[in-house]
Amino acid sequence: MKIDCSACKERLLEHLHGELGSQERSETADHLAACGDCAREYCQLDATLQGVGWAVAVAPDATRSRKIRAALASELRAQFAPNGLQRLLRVWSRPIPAYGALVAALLPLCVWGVVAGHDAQSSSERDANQLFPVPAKAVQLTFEFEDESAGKSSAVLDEYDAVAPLAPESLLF
Amino acid sequence: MSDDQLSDEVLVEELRAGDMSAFERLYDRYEHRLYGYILRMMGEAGLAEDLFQDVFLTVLRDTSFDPERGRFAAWVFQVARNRCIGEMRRARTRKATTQWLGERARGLDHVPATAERDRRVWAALQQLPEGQRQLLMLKQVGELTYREIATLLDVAEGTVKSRLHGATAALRKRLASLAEES
Repeated sequence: MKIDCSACKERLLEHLHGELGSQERSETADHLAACGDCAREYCQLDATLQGVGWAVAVAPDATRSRKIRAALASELRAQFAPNGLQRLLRVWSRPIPAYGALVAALLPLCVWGVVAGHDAQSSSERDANQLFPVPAKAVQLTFEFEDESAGKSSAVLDEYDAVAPLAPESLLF
Repeated sequence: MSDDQLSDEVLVEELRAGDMSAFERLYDRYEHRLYGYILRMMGEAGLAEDLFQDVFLTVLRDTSFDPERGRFAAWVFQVARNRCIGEMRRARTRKATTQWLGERARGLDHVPATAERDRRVWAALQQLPEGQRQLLMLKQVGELTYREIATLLDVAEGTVKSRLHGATAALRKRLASLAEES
């Protein structure tokens, strides 16, 4: 529904303050878009009322402002700012830092585990060697095999070294 | 959502959770509006600074404010208005009413305005009756809704609407006459 200038001017203040219902707002906006007089009136009203805000809203001088801000911050920090444990819990409760913290906590543990495991293995090997000494060399090893031409035969591996690679010439037939 | 778009109520929740940067943003949003409002009510910079600090601390520390039940701005200006009225009553009992009114008027005359335009608007506002000036300040500085003002002043919403029409018309008339004089 279209409205005339008189109805529009009645609504200008509420339109400016965003207090009209959707139907009235739409009608007023349509009229303002089509009527230069009402649009000018609307702009003047807006400027006047904005001027009230600018004229009234002032801040304390800069030095006082800083002092007030610092005093308020100090009081509020004492009431609301978390202590060390709360800060830690808060960091822990956030997903990404929590995973980071978990990795950071586990990493030294893993390194320690690897080093300690290696040491333990070395010492257990030493202990085992002391309990069951492995001879560096076996005196003689005998292999038995079937030879098509000679029948059952045997080979002797003399001076077997458990560490050294097996040399073909060490096999005696 | 950027920090500037966060509502006052969200910032209050964040402050209560220990985020001090929320306080900084709230302070930036309210310093001019709240201090200016109190200064215009009291007319004395020193007293206005004390009251501003007191009111802002009160509203931020008081955890009885429930952001789901109303806007922070409405609560801030309600507390500020009540505190100012209480302070005026105390001042009036200390001094003779005429002496107090004279001192307040002189104080309001010396309230700073940053630009000539602001001085002219403030001069026009000062010529308005106290009720109309209050109404315009609550609407334009406090940015309260009609309903919030109606609750604050304990009147019907329709009354706020008609009084605002009257106050706006009176202000425009004063501004026009001031412009003619100059």
